[in-house]
Amino acid sequence: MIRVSGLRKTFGEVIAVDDVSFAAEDGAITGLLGPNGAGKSTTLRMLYGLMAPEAGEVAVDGVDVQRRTMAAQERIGALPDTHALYPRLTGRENIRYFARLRGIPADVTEGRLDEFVRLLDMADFVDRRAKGYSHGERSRVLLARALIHEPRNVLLDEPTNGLDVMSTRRMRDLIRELRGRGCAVLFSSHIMQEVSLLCDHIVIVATGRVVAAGSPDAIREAAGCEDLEDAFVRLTGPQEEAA
Amino acid sequence: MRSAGVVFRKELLDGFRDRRAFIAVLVSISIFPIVMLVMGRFAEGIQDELRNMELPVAGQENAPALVEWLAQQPGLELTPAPEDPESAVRNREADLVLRIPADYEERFTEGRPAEVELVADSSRTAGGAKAGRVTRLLESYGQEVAALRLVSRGISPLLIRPLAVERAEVFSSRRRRAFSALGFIPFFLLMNAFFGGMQIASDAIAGERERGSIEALLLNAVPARFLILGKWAAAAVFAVFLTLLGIGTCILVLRFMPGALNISPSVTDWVLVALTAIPLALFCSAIQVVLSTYAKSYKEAQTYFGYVAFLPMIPFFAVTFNWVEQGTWTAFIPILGQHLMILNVMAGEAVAAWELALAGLIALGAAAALLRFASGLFVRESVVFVR
Repeated sequence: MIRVSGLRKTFGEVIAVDDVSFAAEDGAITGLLGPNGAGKSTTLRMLYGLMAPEAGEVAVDGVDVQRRTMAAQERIGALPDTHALYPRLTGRENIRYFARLRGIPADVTEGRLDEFVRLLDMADFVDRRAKGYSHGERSRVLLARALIHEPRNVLLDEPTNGLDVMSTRRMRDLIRELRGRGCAVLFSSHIMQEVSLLCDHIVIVATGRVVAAGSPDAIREAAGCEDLEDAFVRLTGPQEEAA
Repeated sequence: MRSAGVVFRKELLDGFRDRRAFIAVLVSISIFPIVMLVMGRFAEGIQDELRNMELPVAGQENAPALVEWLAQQPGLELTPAPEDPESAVRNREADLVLRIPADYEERFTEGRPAEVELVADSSRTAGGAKAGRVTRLLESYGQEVAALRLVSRGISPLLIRPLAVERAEVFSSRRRRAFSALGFIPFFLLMNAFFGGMQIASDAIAGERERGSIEALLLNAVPARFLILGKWAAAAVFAVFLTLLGIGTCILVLRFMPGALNISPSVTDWVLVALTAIPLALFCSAIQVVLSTYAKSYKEAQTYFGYVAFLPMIPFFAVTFNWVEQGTWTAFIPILGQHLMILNVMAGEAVAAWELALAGLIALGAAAALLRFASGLFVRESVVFVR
């Protein structure tokens, strides 16, 4: 489980994240929803210890990310927003590389790899070099790579961005399965439907602040809208529209 | 440490698969010996031509004595001159033409300097060298005539030679050859040590940033120093490999280089050269790791390498133009020290083991400091996220 409290980050004059607090519980899917530039990626980067917050703290399973970055990272599997593989390595080698960095024994890695190949339907391309991958193929390998060490906390930055229907479905199934195993899943998205389909808990951010949080129903209620998308627009949209 | 090994193996594999770049490196290091060989053969060819040259002479009838003297010189064959010497030389029909004017005999007998004209094109190597040889021949003829004139007037020719300059050279001939002709060997080896790891360092570090794969790499609970260590080791292996390859090429060049050099360093010499150059390759790879960490992209890294490319040239010029006195302290400045040490080995001089070891340790220590610095830089927010 991930606990975030009072997170703040500025870049010069720009306040990217301002007093953000929320929690992603075990066995639940938490959606970080917000328009582009709302501070979702910045928040996630502070969660996995690549950026230092100016204020506030993050704890992963009770481990402080700032003070014990390595220990916290051991509990995290993450898909950052730069969806990049090593182009001269095959999909399998890309995944294996991270498994080795994590110190997972080779036989365990191979077993899990085979399972991911089946689960994400990667047999056709996983032994080809990543250079020629389609968007969907790349995303599946990235996901398998982020999960190869079976993390208890999964952070996904816009995982379905640019995917076709089939790939998106596969991704959703996997996210649900992770919840079934008791993982804390936190994923960011700017697509309302995505979030409303999957999430048990939604955190809506706009211009660096949390503007609403709760179950999809609770958010509809808070915004006074029947439709979740209307609620999203009302809560995150420009001031003149909200007025 | 184990994770550094994982990174090292991955980067090596990645580097080997980057075939285009790999070939580019191989080509760039082999170009130099090839140029040396071709130049050596070319110089040899000119020597041959000089030893056995033709000299077209216009107006041979104007100076029979001079013509007869020239004809007696070994390796010089007098031929009739073309109609228009200037245009013949310009059109490369002849390398040079000696023209003896009609008033030669008249001036000669009156004791005035008798002019002869050498038509040559000094922009051509063969023309310049041949003109030089003919000029020297004519001057010695002039001196002979002068001596005869003095003797016939009862004056000793020694009177007009008030000084006899003798040079006692302490620079051994092998050392002189090593410093002039073999100056290219340390230079070439240092270039290899310097640029061997360039490709891997820039791809594995600056390329990692450029592709954005750095973000995922940094969340694997592996301390940055191990990541940097692994990447450096992969670059260093390439640098060492290319340095050894460079030594191999030097051995071949020396064996097949024609003529004058006549230096054949022993196996021990080459081992000493390798022991000198390897720590330097490790040090240079560390410089590239730092530069690649600064660079936002592969291209930017290559640009930075361009800025430091002059580093291995400094000792070359420093030695060639005698900027440095060779003392103990120079042995311990990375790059300069190695350059001098390799040169000394080539010149057949003893290099102390402690000197070798200390210079190596200093280079390694400097490499460690650079890597430490790069590790801090690698995970700096402004480095990871500014693209």
